[in-house]
Amino acid sequence: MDCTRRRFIKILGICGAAALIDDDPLLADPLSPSLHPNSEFGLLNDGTRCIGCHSCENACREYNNLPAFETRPDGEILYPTELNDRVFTRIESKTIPSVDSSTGETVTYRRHQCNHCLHPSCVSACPVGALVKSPEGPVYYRAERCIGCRYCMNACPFTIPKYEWNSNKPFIRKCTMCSEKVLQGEPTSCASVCPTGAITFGTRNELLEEARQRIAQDPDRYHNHIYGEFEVGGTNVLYLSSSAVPCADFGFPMNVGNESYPSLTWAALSRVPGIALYVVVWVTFVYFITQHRIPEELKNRESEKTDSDLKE
Amino acid sequence: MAILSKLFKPTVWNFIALAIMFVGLIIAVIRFIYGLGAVTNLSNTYPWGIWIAFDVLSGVALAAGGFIIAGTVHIFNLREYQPIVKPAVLTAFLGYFLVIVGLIVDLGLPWRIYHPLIYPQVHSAMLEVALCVMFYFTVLFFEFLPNIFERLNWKVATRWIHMFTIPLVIAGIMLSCLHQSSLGSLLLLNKEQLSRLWYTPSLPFNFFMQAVAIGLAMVIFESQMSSRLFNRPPEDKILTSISKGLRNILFIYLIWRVIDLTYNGNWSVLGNSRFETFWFSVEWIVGVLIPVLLLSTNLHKNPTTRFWMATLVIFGIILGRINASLTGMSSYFNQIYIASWEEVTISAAIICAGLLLFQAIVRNLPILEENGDEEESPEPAVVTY
Ligand code: SF4
Ligand code: SF4
Ligand code: SF4
Repeated sequence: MDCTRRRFIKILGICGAAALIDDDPLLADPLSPSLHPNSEFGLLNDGTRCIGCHSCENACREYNNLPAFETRPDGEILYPTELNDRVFTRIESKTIPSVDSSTGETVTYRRHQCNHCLHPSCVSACPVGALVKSPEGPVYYRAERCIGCRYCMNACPFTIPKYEWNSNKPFIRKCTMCSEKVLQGEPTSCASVCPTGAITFGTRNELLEEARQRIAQDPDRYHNHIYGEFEVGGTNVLYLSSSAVPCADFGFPMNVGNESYPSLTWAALSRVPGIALYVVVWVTFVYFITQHRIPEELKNRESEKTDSDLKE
Repeated sequence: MAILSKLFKPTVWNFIALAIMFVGLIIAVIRFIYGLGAVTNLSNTYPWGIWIAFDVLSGVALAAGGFIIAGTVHIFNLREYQPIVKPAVLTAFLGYFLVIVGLIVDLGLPWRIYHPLIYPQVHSAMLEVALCVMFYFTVLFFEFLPNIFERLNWKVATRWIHMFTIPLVIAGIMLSCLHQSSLGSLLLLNKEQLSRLWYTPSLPFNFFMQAVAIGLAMVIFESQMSSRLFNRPPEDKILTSISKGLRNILFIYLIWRVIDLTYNGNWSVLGNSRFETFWFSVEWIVGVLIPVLLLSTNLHKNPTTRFWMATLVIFGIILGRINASLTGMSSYFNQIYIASWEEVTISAAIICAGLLLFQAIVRNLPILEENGDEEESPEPAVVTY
């Protein structure tokens, strides 16, 4: 990968565009293998431990200065049913018949948030490098660069980036893995308030280890799949789901595949300098060949033209 | 008023066009004051609507005639196509101008439209699109400039700029090839959202072929339209050979897509969603199969059928782009996007602006001049459609 990138830049350089390339380390190749596999932070969301207390939603809202949730007249808080520019995380619940069938029903939970992909589609999509993947894990946003093309929204396989549709100076909003905190090694706001340990903060490798252990210790309780371990090339936010409601039933996209998304467009984009060069050379070549034969041909045509004109 | 009447004839259609543009302008003002949400049906599910699917994705394709005809004449030296070079380049120039207008309305922060130049991120297909729009628009501007110089009778400037014709045409061909295909590359990231009827790793190539087809169709459409508008003899001979080219490229496109769908085993998704299957069929039957069949008969020599076939191809390929960027995602999201009337009005206003500008420029600059002299033309100047 690295070699194709270098070749690409070299060709661009030949084309005289090297000066344009931003030498920002944060734009480091989204295709390259994870930069710091051992120190990259992530979250482990354990659906079997979540009790649906909404603490994480509130902590996230407060930390990110998002507006308060709506309340019903009787004071009950209406927790969000979708992510949007004011909601970066939410808890979805699902009611299923109880396993031991004596108590009737049980409720299971799933958390929604940005997955902080190892090879984020949104980062590769952004034409101006407004979204970046930091070596510490978080995929965050540099608002001052954004042009508002919304390609990141279109590109994210999890439909995570949201837009401020009702603003005349709109920006992209999404979970940033509390990047200011995480870059200093502190846990995210949501992880630090969770009362049941359903949200664990740590390096990706630690979290994977932990997740495997939990599954091994209680194979009946867990669905044997760590969502995010391989999906879209791996994500920093990992999910465990209960055996009763495995991730597929909870609406996790199961067809995303294990291939990194940026490689889908890179397959085409990496050929661009080559194609450009090829077209220019080929067209110039054709031009010189056809020029060669003009004088005679043109004369012929000219005479043909006058002939036909005369006929008419 | 005197200036206005120099620009276009005071026909009913032109006044309707002006009215639509006026309404569009008001909507644009509302959009810039209250945000995109106030006038569009865009949502977090469908962040792109017809401004992207129609104005940008289709608008760029409609402009493809410019580089094809310029290349045919200047590079392949097929001088018989000379009379349609200038109109085709003008169509492309205006097309790109209107794409940029559309982008300014659609971008959330359009005053940062130059950011791709100063913060380029080379892994983004959108960067390729943005740079190609800017560079090719510049090239088209310089290809168009001689018309103004000729009109002003600036002999030195005219001679000087003609020296750059060939490099400009070559740059134009290169940028167009990249740009047309990069629009397809954009959708490569919709692997999961987009129905397999449209999604394939060869999207960039498909988009390029679509562009060649719609570009040629647009040349036919625009040439016959302006013969009619400006009472000029139609370029029948040229258009007949162009329609042959159109048939050939459509045929290749058809075969290619059949192979593509078969190779990727994607026929099976046909019928998964009735909505998508319906629009897929319309796109192919109306926009490709019927034109290929009819253009293969002698009917392509008949101006009326030729005109309507070109119109069908234009319709079919625009529909194809709307399908590939909007319709094809409806079953994944379980939700349909339908443009608001405001969005439609803005798109219509942009087309109207294009039509009026085209008229105004043709009336005042030497665009159609090489079209053979009017007095000499033996054919009747009126074509019926
Ligand atoms: S989940 Fe979406 S928004 Fe988050 S990092 Fe991955 S691609 Fe980007
Ligand atoms: S909307 Fe902003 S952040 Fe998203 S891709 Fe466009 S420029 Fe980048
Ligand atoms: S990591 Fe931070 S921004 Fe993301 S959901 Fe948790 S609290 Fe919100």
